[in-house]
Amino acid sequence: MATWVSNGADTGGSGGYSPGTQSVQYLITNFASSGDVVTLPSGTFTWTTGVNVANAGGNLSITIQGNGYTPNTSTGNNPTGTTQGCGASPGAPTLFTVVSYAGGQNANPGGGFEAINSTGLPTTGKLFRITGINFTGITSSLYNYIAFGGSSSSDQFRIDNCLIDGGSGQKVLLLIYGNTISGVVDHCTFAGGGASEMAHNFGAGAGQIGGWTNDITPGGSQMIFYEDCIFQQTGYTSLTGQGGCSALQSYYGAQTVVRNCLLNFCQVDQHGTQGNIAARWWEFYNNTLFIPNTNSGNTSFYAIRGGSGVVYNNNVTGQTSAGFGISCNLYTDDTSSNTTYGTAPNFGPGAGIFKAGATQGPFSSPAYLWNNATVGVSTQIGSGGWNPSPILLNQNYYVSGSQPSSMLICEKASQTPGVTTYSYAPYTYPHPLTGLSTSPGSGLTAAADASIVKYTVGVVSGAYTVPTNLFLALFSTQFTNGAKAGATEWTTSSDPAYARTVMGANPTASWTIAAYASGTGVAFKNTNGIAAPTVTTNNQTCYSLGFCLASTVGVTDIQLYIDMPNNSALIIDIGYFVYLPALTGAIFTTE
Amino acid sequence: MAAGSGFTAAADASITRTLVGVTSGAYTTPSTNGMYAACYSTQFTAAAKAGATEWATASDGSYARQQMGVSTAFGWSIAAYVNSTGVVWSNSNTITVPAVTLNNQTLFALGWVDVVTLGSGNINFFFDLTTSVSVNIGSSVVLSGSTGAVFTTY
Repeated sequence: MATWVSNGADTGGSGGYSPGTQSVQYLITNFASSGDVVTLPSGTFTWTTGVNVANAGGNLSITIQGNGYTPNTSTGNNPTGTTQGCGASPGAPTLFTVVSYAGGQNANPGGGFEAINSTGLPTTGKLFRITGINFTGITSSLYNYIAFGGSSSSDQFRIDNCLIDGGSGQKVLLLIYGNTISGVVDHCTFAGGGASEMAHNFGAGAGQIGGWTNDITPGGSQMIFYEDCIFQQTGYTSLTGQGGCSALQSYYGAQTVVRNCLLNFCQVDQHGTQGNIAARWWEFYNNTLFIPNTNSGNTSFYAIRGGSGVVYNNNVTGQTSAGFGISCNLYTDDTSSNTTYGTAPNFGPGAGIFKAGATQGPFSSPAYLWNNATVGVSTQIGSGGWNPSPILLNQNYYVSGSQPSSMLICEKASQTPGVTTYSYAPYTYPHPLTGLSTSPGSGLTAAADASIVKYTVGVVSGAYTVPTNLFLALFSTQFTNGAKAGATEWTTSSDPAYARTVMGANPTASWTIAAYASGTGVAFKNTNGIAAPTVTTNNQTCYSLGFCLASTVGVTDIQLYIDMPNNSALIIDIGYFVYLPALTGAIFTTE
Repeated sequence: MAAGSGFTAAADASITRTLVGVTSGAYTTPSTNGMYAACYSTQFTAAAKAGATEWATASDGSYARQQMGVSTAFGWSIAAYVNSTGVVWSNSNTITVPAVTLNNQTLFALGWVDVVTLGSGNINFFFDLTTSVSVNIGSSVVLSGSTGAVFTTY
C-alpha cells in the first residue's frame, strides 16, 4: 500500500511524483493502484472538474483521505446531545479539508456530474473509501458529490467521517448503484434543504428488475448500510411536516439498512413503482427521529412505498406532544399501467421475491414493525392512484411491542409465501468494514493477560516482565474488546516525529494507584501529564492508546490498552500532539 | 451472598503494582510448588474479595494447607488466551486435604496462599462455593486434577 500526498486540487500536475504539489486526479492517473491512499491537506479547494477514480489500468479501489471535517453546527436546529456524526472528531483542531464543488464535466453514470466518481469497483478485494472531507458548495441538483457503484461483489466501500452538505434547495449528494456491492456509510453528517434526497441507493439500476429476483438474507451483509450518521434538513423555521425532505431514497430492488442514525426532521423513503421499480428490502432500527418545536404538522419518518423488511426500536425526540401524527407510512404507488413485470404489478409493501413463472402476490413477504415508541403506522394509496390491493395490518405488515419469535418470509426462490418463517437477527454492529470494535475496551492485552497469570502463580516461562518503565504508544486502529490485540501502531514513515513516550522518571512516580474498592477494583492512572511528540508530515488518526514495555516503535510488547470511547477517533493534524492530562488521561480498573 | 472467584482484593492491588513496575507493595511471585490450597468456612464476598475464615487446627486437628504440584512444578495448567474466555488456568494434579478429625467442618470457599503456615502469608486467589458443603469427620476435601478449580481472566 502506498500513500500519495496531493495538493488538494482536482486537476493539475506534471512530472514524477512530488508530494504535496500535484492534484488528486494526477496522482490517481499516474501513480495509484488499488489499495493505495491519496491524501488531501487541510484547506479549501474548489473543484470544477471532479475526480474519476480510474487510470489506464481501469477503475481503482483506493482511499481518498482528507484532513478532517467540521463539527455539526450548521443549522442551529439540532437536538442536544447529537454528536454521533461529525462529533466523532472530538478535540480536532480547526484544520479541515473542504472540497467546494462547483460542478464539472466528470461523467456520471447516474446522468449528472460529481466531485468524485467511479464507474464501477474493480474485483481487487480492496476497499473503496472516502474519509475526512467536508463537501460543500454544490450548485445544482444535477450534481452529486460522490457517485460510484458497479457489479463487483469482491470490492467493498466505506464512506466515513465526512460532512456532506447540500446547502439549501433540493440536492442528491451521494449516489450508490449496483445490487451486488456492499459497504457502509458511517459517522457522516448529511445536510440537505427542501425536498432533497441526500443519498440515492440505485440498486440494480434504472429499469432493471434484477434486484427483485435474487435471494435475500435478512440481517445479511449484502446491503448498503448507513450507521451512526446524522441526516438533517437545513433551513427550516416553521413547517407543517418535514416537507418531503429525504435522508435517502432507495430504488430498483435496492437493499438498505439504516441504523443508529439521527434523522433530523427528514425521512427515509423507499421508492415505489411510480415510474420506477420499487426498493426491495429494508432494515431500519435504533434510529432517533427528531422533530423541531417549530413543526406544526404530521411527520412521516419512514415513507415505504415498496418491498419488505423490518422497522424496530426507533424513537422520537423533540416535539412529541403536540398531537401531530408521527408515522411510518406504508403505502402503494403502483400504477395501473405498470404491468411490465406481471399482470399484477404489486411491489408491496409486503412483497417478496419475484419467481419465474409465478404470479407475484401483493403480500407474499410481509413487513414487521415492533417497539417503535411514539411512531405510529399509517397506510395510504400513493400518487399512482391505482390500488390493486389495500395495505392491511396482519396481511402486508405486522405490528407488535416486541420482536415476534417467528415471522413469515418469501425472499428466496426456495421459500413459500405464507409458510416459510424466519427469526430475524441484525448484522454485526459496528459494521466490520469500519474496523471498530463491537465494544471498545481497555485493560490488559491478551498477551499480558496470559503472562501475568503465569507470573501470579510462579511459572517462570512466559511470565510477565516487570517493567522499569512503561511507554505510551499510539494506534490508528482499535484493539477489539474480544481479541484485545492487533491494533496498528503509528509509524515513523508516516509521522517521522512519532516515538513512544516514557512515563515519568520511574514507575512509582508514573502511576497513581488507589486501594481496592468494592465495585471498582483498583483504579490506576498516570500521575503526570504525558505529551507525545508533535505530528509532522502527515495527519494521524488515534483510535487507541497502549502502554508498552519498550521504547522501540513497532515492538509487540503492549501491556495495557484503552480504546477511545464510543468508537470515536481523534484526528491529530500536523502541528498538534496527543496529550494525556495528569490523573485523568488514562484510568484503568481491575473490576 | 453472591459467590465469587479470582484474585483477592490484596492480590488485585499488588498485581497492579507489578504490572506497571511499582516495586513497593508489588506482588511476590511464588517459588516452585510454593502455593498451597486452604479451606474456608465462610465465603469471600464477591465484592470485597477478602475476609473469609480459614479452618483451624483447634477444630480439626489434622487440618493443614496442601502444597500444589508435588510431582509437577507449580501445579497449574495454563491455557492460551481465548476471545470471550480469557486465560483459563486450573490445578494440574489432584489435591487432597487430610481427613477431618475432632469436629465436622463446613467448606464454603477455597483459597490459594503463598506459605504453608496457617494464618500466615497472602491469599492470592479464592473460589467461593455456591452453597456450603459439610465435611464430616473421616471425610476429605479433594480437588480433582484440571477440573477442581478453574479460573479465567475474563
